[in-house]
Amino acid sequence: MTNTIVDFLSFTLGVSVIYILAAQGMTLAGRTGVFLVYNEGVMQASASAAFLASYLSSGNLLLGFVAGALAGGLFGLLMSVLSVTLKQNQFVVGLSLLILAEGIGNFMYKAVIGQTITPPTIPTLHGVFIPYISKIPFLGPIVFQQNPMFYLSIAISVFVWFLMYRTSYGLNVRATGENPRVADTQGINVHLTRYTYTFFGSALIGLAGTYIPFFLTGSYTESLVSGRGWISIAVTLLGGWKPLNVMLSGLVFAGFEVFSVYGQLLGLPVSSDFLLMVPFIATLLILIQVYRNAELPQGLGKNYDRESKVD
Amino acid sequence: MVLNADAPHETIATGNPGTKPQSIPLLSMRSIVKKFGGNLVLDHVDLDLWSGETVALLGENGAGKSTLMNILSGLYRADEGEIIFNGTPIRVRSPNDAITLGITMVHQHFELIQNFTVLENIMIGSKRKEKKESVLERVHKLASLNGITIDMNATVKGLPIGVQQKVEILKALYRDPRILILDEPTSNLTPQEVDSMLSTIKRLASSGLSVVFITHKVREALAAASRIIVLKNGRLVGKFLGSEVTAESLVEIMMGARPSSILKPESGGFKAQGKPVLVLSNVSTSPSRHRIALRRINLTVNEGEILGIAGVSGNGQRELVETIMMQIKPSDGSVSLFGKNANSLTTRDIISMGVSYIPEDRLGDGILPNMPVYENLVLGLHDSPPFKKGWMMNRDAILSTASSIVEQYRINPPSIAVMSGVLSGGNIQKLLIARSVLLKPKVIIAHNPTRGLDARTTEFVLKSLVQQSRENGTGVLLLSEDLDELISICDRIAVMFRGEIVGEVEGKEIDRYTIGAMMAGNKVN
Amino acid sequence: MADKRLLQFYPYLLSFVGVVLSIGVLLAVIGKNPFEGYRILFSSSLGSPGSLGLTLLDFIPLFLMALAFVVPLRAGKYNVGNEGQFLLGAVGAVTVSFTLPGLPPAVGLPLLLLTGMLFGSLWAVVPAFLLYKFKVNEIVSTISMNFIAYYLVLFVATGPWHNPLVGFPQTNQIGANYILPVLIRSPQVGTGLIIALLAAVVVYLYVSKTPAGFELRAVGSNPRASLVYGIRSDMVSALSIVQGASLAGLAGAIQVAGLLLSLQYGMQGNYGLLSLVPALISASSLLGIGIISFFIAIVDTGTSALQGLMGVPYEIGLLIEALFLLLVLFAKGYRRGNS
Repeated sequence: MTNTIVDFLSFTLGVSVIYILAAQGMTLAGRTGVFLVYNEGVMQASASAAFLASYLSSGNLLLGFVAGALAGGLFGLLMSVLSVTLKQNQFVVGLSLLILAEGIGNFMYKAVIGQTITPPTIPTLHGVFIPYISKIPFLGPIVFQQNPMFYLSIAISVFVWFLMYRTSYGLNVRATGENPRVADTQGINVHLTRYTYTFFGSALIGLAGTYIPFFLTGSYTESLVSGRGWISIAVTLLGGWKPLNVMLSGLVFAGFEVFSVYGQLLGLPVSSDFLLMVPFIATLLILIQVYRNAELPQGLGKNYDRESKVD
Repeated sequence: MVLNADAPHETIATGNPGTKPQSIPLLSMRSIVKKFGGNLVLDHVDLDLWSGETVALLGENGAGKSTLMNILSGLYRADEGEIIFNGTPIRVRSPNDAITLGITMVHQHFELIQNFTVLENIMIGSKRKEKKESVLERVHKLASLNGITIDMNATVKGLPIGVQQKVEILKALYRDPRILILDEPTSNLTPQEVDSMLSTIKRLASSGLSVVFITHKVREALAAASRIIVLKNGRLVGKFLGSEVTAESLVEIMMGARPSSILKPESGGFKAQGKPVLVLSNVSTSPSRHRIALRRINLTVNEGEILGIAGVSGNGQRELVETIMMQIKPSDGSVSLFGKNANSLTTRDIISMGVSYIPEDRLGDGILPNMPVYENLVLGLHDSPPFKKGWMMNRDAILSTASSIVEQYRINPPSIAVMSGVLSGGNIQKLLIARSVLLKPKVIIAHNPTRGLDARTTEFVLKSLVQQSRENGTGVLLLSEDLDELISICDRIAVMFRGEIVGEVEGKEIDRYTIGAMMAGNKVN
Repeated sequence: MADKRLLQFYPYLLSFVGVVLSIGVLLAVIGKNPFEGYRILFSSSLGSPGSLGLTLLDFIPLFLMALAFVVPLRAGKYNVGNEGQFLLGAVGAVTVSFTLPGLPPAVGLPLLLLTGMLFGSLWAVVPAFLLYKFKVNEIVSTISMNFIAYYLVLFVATGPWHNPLVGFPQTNQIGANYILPVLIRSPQVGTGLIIALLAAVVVYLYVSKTPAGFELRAVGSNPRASLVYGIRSDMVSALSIVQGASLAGLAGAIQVAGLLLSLQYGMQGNYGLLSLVPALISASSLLGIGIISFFIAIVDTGTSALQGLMGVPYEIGLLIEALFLLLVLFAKGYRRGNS
């Protein structure tokens, strides 16, 4: 029994990387006022780019991660051009880019790899054994034998928190998301800030997508993401766009996902179809609570035009 | 005030430009031109500023004062003209440029981030890399120098408006500017707070700082500035030393032809003896985070009369109108319309009973920006005949009504199909007025209907209200921050302060000093 | 002023041209003959009565789901859950057929369609309620309902109604009395198409001509002003999602009764994503939505053939739609900057 729990928790931490990275990416962009909704698609496209890069370079995972991050960042740039500069509605742009990303992911993969009986694979990430601490009973195997990306995702979370909430630079960045007009009149370059963080935020979303084949499956499929991108939006909302809360929230939702898989192993008397619904039902229930305590960046989702007249 | 309505003022009137010790001004704006869309907002305006002086930039709403200063502070870019600072021509491409040069502006609408603390708001965008402690120290010093006391770690969201205004000023001073621009700094203050602000302004210039403050209030310009520059319709029409010009001549130059007195007929005339149409008895509402509580409000509006509500904004006016329109339910007391208790009715019911509402925020609460004018006209009336016929909307009736309104009210551009969002503020207001009188209302609630409008449109608005009450017997409730306006057309004036009615005056008793005292919270019987 | 009206079409025309060109470019990039590609695209979607029939069959769900998205869009809400609502409509259809097998078509068919609409709207009730009561963002909630719907369909299609002859999650065929009659043989035009077009007319009348439709649009334009003038904005916008959902449910029912004749796992295909495009390009014109939906049906049908005959990944269709939308957005933004 303890072994199952250990496996469950360990796996949860491993899966949480997907949610944490994507949600931190959304948080970065969101704190500057840009509401990203294309996670599901960008994760797919980045996974494809990363897989192909890695496959074509004979299993170089690092190259794959870079490719995945760049792919994500590219979508971020497009998002910025269309919404920050050309002032089109952020949701409309986001949804459009989502469709593009969904299309491009599979298109590229099929064009390069073609149809195969067994899909090609790449080596997946290994766990790292941190000396000494990983021998602690119970905690050790769970926390300290994760793959490097897990530790990186925690580090990124802490870094984002520190940058945004403990530096005066971060204060200025957050100002652009709270009230861009104020930020502008104080001499902060709103456009540049939005471009920058939409880029890096989308790159993180790309990393999240890349992680799926690199950690879970070792190969690329059409249904790679299967809803995790959408759930990562709920993760961000539950975390209130605050990096440390987002990190915890990512762990929670990872738990739901792993539960729906483990539920079958545990022999629960529930049809597997209903177990698969669990993360989404959980999302609905959690969203209620989220909105009760909403404290979002005030300028979220609204584009800023310096020359627009204030009545 | 008797004014010479006929004298044109095409030439620039100047008093003695005075004896300035330095011959070269710190700042010169030359021949500035600015257009918004097709409108010429600034027409070759010149402005000189010397260091250490306080200048008032005086003019009516829409004269171009804010636009001129927005160009100087980098928010807008001039279409033509040049700016010379300290002897060299400069290009101010962004607020960043302006701040670097030492030009800082405090805007009329609050520019504070509600979710941040006072200290954080002051620190935003600052170029210095300082630790929080030294910032705190410096700000405290600035505050005491200028007679301001605030808790630096308080979140702005919870602070009263008057205090937020002071935070704004501290924020600007922290940038160590050479030129400080204040846009309508007294717009949200009681008469007493205004005096305090004006003396603060006078103190600012003593340290070598140049201050420009934008205002449309002649008295304040004279009180706090050493020099006064007057703009009208985007043109420079006067430059004076404060000591050498009178209030009367300034008003004349500022406004041109004074609108003739359409206003209240002398007492005697049409004394409102009609039945009460709107009565609030002991109405109270519960407070919430964003709302002031109303406390035991007693008000009566009679047929054919205009009841004014005076008070600085933020004292419950918004809550009052929302309660009357049943957007907020009273927690105590009752609102009656034509003798019937309205507490359980919906907004839609109220409107269909013949109550019209002109909201204060014409853009945010008044129009449907990406829908055409003809559809905007029937908002609120879309579910009633003649605009509804059977299942469908009566397109013919709507279109023909819209055409005649656009013509009658001279709405520009004269097209019923244009999107209402592109209309100017004045035209939007005309649209709102038109809508409010379309179906012969029995009650009109008008909240700051002339805010930000030029003289001609203001006159039009006030005339319409008077006409409705005198000719159609409509009861009008007019809430306004402009005492002159209230005094000119109201039969009675009540004053609101902190959610209560603190007094009411009628006829001969209407006097701006009494009302001013009530606005500051002193109850008067 | 005819010029001015024409002028507003330029972005759309230019984008359309751009899209058509990009098909050729994409084909060339992956080493296929662009001209051959164009030929196949055209002939397999419009080249013969048979292909036109296929395109029309694809048009029906796309168009109805675009309508399902656009009605709430006019009120300012994004109903990206039209896919789940579509599936629930399909579930409703097979439910009627399997639980009431003996009904005569005159009664059964309308019942089947109405049940589809009902099931579709019910699927939107939870997100609409969450929006109304708790201001929950409808994008996340409706998408969650989509995923729950996928697994629900899996459950139903592998349950007691599962077709034992097929090794795939699919139900038995519906009764012959529940099949929508075909009106024209070639090109195949079924009752489903007529119903879809009728539904469009109803939507048009409702949105443009009735006071309720006015309120819908007013709320989309300015919910605060609407509230001030007596319209219950929260209720209207939440309800609009349910209203749109009924159209998606109708699409699902028609898809079962007019084409697939059973409930199949994955029958939603790409309709969800594709249906967003017409509405996002042309929200205020139903005619525009119809035209663009038809264009997407052409591309969708054509790219299936491209995959089969030339080995081109059929995702090229998604790319094309997305490009169209993005080019339009780009053109709109560019023009706005220059006006």
